[in-house]
Amino acid sequence: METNKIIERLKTIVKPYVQNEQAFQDFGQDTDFIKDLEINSANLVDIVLDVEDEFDIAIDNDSMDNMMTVQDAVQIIKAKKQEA
Amino acid sequence: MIGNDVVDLAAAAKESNWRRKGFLEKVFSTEERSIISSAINQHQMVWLLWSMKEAAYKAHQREFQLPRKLNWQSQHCFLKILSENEASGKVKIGETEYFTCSEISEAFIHTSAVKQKNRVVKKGIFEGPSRKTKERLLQEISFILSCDKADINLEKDVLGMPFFSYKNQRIFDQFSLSGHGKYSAYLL
Repeated sequence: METNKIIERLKTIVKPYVQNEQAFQDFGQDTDFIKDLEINSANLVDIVLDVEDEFDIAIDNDSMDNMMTVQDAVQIIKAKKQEA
Repeated sequence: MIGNDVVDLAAAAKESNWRRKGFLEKVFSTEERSIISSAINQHQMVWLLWSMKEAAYKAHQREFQLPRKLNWQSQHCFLKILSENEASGKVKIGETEYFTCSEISEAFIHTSAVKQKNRVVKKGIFEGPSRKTKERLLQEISFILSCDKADINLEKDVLGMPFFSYKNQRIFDQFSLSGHGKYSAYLL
């Protein structure tokens, strides 16, 4: 799966939870869900669940631990897709 | 080390659907989920346990200089006392224990977490924009450190944790800030 395509799909998933619209304009690999987009922590659970549904993967706790940026999410999605 | 967390219950009801498939499983252990399912007010219990975890992890982050993680399952809640408007207990993270004290109202839940059980804390919970809370905290800190509040600044370090600086030097970080919905709070 292409990184750009994954990022596009992530952008759609994340959109409803974004608190900082300005930072969302620059959505990219380095975007941090909390520091940049100011997403509240309970909605990070939703993002993890939405990513699981969208990409049809299961994200274990160890992987979830480090899902702080778009790049982290991309890596997790790619790794899980490869396992499947 | 100390940490705190506030949950605006109306905002939580609007923003998060904890009943969605998989939500509770991502955050809570089997034991914690059984506390929730047997609670009279499940919505309140979900956010009480949540705020205990968040407050304790903030204290833990300070203690060990850790980055923010999505690791709710590594924080284990033990609820000791629960009444209509307060709760107390502890949260275990690895080998470290944090004692928690929660204030519960119709509108919000606020939890303070401390590592030293006898640590005296001062908390402030406010409605309205978070800058007002920060302003009040600044006032408290300038009093404690006996310096002019114009000379101290609230900043964030690389781990995302707040601290106060005086003439560009980090001088105080024994406090915690939190905010959710229309509430924001500090603990020091």
